[in-house]
Amino acid sequence: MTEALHLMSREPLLEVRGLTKHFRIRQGGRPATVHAVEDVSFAVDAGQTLALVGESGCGKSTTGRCVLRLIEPTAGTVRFRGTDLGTLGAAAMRSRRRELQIVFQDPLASLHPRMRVVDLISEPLQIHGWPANEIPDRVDELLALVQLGAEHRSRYPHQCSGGQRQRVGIARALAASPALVVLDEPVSALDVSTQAEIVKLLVELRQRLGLAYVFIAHDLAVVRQLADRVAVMYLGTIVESGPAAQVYADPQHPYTRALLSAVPIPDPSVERRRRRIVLAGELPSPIDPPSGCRFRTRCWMAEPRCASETPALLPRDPGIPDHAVACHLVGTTANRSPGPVPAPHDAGATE
Amino acid sequence: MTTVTTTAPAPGSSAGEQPVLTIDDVHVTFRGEHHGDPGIPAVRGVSLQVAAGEALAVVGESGSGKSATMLAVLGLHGHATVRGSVRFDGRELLGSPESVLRTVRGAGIAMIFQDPMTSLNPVLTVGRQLAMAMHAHQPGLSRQAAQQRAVELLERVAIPQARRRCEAYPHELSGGMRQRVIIAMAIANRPRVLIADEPTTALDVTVQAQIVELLGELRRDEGLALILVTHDLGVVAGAADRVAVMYAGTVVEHGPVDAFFAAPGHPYGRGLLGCLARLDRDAEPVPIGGHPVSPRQLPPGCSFAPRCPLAEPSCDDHPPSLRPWGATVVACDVVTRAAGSSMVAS
Ligand SMILES: Nc1ncnc2c1ncn2[C@@H]1O[C@H](COP(=O)(O)OP(=O)(O)OP(=O)(O)O)[C@@H](O)[C@H]1O
Ligand SMILES: Nc1ncnc2c1ncn2[C@@H]1O[C@H](COP(=O)(O)OP(=O)(O)O)[C@@H](O)[C@H]1O
Ligand code: SF4
Ligand code: SF4
Ligand SMILES: [Mg+2]
Ligand SMILES: [Mg+2]
Repeated sequence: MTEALHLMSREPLLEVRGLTKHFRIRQGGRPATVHAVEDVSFAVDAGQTLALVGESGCGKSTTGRCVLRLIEPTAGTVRFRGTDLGTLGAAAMRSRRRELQIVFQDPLASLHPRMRVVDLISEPLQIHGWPANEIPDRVDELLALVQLGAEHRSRYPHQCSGGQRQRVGIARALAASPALVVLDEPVSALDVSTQAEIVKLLVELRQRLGLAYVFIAHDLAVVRQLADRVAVMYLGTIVESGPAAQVYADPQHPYTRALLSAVPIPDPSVERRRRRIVLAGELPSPIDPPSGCRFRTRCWMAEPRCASETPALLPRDPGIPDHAVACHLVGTTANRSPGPVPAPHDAGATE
Repeated sequence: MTTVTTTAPAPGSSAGEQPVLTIDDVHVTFRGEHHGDPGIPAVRGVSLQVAAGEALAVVGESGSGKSATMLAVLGLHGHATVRGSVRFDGRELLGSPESVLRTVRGAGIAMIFQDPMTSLNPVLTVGRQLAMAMHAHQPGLSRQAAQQRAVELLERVAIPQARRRCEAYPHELSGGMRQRVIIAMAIANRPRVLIADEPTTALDVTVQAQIVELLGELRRDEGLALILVTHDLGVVAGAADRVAVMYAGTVVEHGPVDAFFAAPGHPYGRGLLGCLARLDRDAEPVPIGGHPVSPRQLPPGCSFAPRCPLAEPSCDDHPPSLRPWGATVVACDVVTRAAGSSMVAS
């Protein structure tokens, strides 16, 4: 499809359909399959932020890496500006990657320890064929953009604070003027005040540069400020997605409700009144995920059909077409149940 | 080096409740690397206490001295000079012989360390490690009794199929399960004080909720005194009775959680609360700005001055001491002076 056609059809900037990633591993000498991501679909419009939230191991990073084709999906398509990235050869993909960038969680691990800040930021410019004589000016521009003083130019990563390192990581991602940045837990390793600084910076950069983000996070409070849309993942699947305000105010999937209720609120009077849904049991292994609904082993509303039928991600209500939920009971009275009957000791009851 | 003097008694939970652990004006200085190096003053005059069944939260940014203070309580600093007083059950621990400390560690005061993997031995089963923890303090315990108690402990921390899990190795368990095992080991010898250093930082929120719930139960049911070190003010609000805020090795604010969260007094306490992203409010988080000071380059007066929106020239004169401010105590002369004058005025 041509760019012009894409503009006319108002296609999203990024469209992911049926994304599936299985890792083949050996477990105790025997081959096994990790079902890391299963049939995940979402779309991101230019300038918009999609928050991909869920707990560790639910497949957020794997999804992000498949989007950039840092790893090959097992199935599904990733379209960027209408182009199916899976059809691109290595060279074409490399030039596309200029528009599609990623920032990682641990800035120290993702920055070469022997390179100075100036070289770290020049590197992507060189890779993308920026004219050599313009690189120094562009580096200064990028440093200013991420609000790093000129004194940081000649520092090594270990001489920067965590927040400063993350700014370097962001500057590298922005070097070649991308349209979309996958942010893989960019603030999870930082102190709260530094988290607030980086989130503020990301908000400003989005405004100035018209960036789209896929913001991967496990912390629902942190993404609230940035997200236009939220997709909640559990064990490799999206269980709920919709406009952020809608999902936060009126979560429909039992897992989303449990996740939101577990986020502590820094107000003792609220905490005392709050009814927390403490999920029973453990996250099942993605090597042998539960049949039917993957959440059923921990769901307090599970019915027999939850074990046999996989719920599809469908609009919860025709009136709100872009708020989708994957649960057989959505919209029924059962789904109004406030949470499991309090039984804090039954952590193994579902086994 | 400056010594911070406490001019106001730190607030206790309820009048008359005897603290089981009292940390009094503790200083920890990591030794310098060469002759003439004054070292790193990581903790500078910290005073805290907890009573049975009470939970005290200690919060502060990375490097503020939370862990260094707790390690000093248990006499676990190898390369540091520790001064001050730590009394457990009325008995002085600082300067006590290692044999005394060994008895207190585990059986009197147990600690859960920040890095969960350092607390478990990867090559021993969970049951074996629990038994070893018990034998260290109860050498006469029979094998069967230790085994039986190990199962009970795992059940106590809500690990399903406890008997089978005794045979598991740490790597076979999820992060949350491992933290439960660590808590089981910590309570194996029925300590009276549990110091938990960032017990949920590495865990997901739903697992964190389970662990916080478990710590709360242990506190209520067994009367454990809990010191919860965390950087998460959300956890503090739900799990603690009192909170102490640390900055650059000192306690800058200390008081009941309700008073602190309703109206933090110290500019740093206000900053910490104001920079939080929260689910219940739309207000945009405001970063504190600046960077934590290095303990090697402390300013002459208030160590928060370089970042403080209320700083005045006089703040550089001398380090402020903790003074009463409503129901809490606050180490900020500007704030406590303003409160004092408004009280006089009204
Ligand atoms: N073994 C050591 N040798 C020298 N300095 C140390 C040592 N351990 C800690 N420090 C320093 O002491 C200060 C306090 O450290 P501490 O570990 O107590 O911080 P913390 O409040 O627990 O931080 P975090 O939230 O990161 O765990 C820091 O400046 C740290 O760099
Ligand atoms: N290279 C890999 N080989 C095998 N399994 C992997 C690999 N990468 C990720 N996984 C597994 O895939 C699942 C999803 O992982 P990940 O996408 O990293 O989760 P998240 O980012 O949500 O924490 C996990 O079970 C993880 O262990
Ligand atoms: S489909 Fe069934 S098991 Fe899954 S979330 Fe809905 S009620 Fe629970
Ligand atoms: S004493 Fe001064 S610098 Fe320190 S916190 Fe108070 S106002 Fe700020
Ligand atoms: Mg990840
Ligand atoms: Mg620490």
